[in-house]
Amino acid sequence: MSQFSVYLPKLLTQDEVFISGRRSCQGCGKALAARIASKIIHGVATVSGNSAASGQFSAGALTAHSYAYDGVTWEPLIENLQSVIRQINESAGSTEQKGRQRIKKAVVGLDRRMFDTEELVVPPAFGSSTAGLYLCFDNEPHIDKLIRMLNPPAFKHAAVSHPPSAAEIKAAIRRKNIPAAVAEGSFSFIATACPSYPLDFIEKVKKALACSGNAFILVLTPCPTGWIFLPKLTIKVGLLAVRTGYFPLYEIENGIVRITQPLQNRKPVQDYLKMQKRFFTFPRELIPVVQEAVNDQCTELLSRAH
Amino acid sequence: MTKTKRHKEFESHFNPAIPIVEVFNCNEDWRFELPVWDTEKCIQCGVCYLSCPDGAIYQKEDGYYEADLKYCKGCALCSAQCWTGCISMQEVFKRFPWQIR
Repeated sequence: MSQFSVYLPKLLTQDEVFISGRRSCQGCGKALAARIASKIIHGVATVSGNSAASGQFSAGALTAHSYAYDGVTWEPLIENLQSVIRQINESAGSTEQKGRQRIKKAVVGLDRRMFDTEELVVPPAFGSSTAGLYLCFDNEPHIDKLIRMLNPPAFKHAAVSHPPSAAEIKAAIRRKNIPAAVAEGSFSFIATACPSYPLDFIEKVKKALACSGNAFILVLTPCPTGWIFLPKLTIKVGLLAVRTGYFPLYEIENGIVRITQPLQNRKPVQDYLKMQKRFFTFPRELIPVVQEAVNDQCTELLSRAH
Repeated sequence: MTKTKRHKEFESHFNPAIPIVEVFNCNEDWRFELPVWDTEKCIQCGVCYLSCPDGAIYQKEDGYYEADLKYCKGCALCSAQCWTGCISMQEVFKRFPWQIR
């Protein structure tokens, strides 16, 4: 029966909304996630949070964030987000009369780094009066800071930073979970997803569009240039991140936690760290610390799940 | 457009197999590899179509899949994900003599 799942991609639409070009590197995980999501979000208005931190791809009118392009795109600053989304929701009826496609929900593409830098700006954007889907692409920018601490100082220079302690590593791994601004906010649907599980990701986007109120999906997007691995391994790195428990896939619907990929028989985290060249300077003594933090995270999740 | 002497000098440096790109949307001029499908092994499942990050793979009328030569970047994700192993990567011509791959 499991062999029939091979043919599942044939059920998806063949129409391409995603515009290909030179916007991304070879084997970009972010572009892959945006393309898979755009198969479901067809006639939906999109907004890109085009601030300095999140606008990594942005150049011109079309960005990778505004992927579901159907003639209705906006590019406001992150401060204006809430008012623009409210306008989209109110204008849903009027656009239908003019013979255009009906707008179901506003979709916003964000970068994970925004939650670290613009902590004061983000919470008011997630208002309870609006209804939107927030897709947050996470390529782990905060781990780079941890790796930079491991590098020795330049010749004849005093050490500016110190090697990270066990507590700092555990804090960094806890940080890659769903941010506190989202967990405390008024969200009816929160989920994590990865483009290496495309059909799982598609189901979550469908659920998020169908629910009333705000929805948030955190997407892990492997980055071949930043994490330093071959571009053909993008999907396999994402698979390992889920199978080791480093990035567990789950969804929270009205306060009920449900784990979508099994977490019982996990692989060691060492397999995941070995695949990427950015962990080349990572000392072996600290690998058990990472394993411990991942185990704590998984046991906490399993106790919350129903 | 008439070709001047300078144009001809410029073109002599390049391999004629690769076109000089004027539309800067396409990736014809810098990629190193291209996927080639073996139609005997292919089961037309569409996994390669789903795993392409550029949307460069499309289905032909006879059911088999093919890469769009304009937009393919040669990342080899489709060949890594293929179940039957029918996709092989073919090296394309070097443009510059000092090009490594």
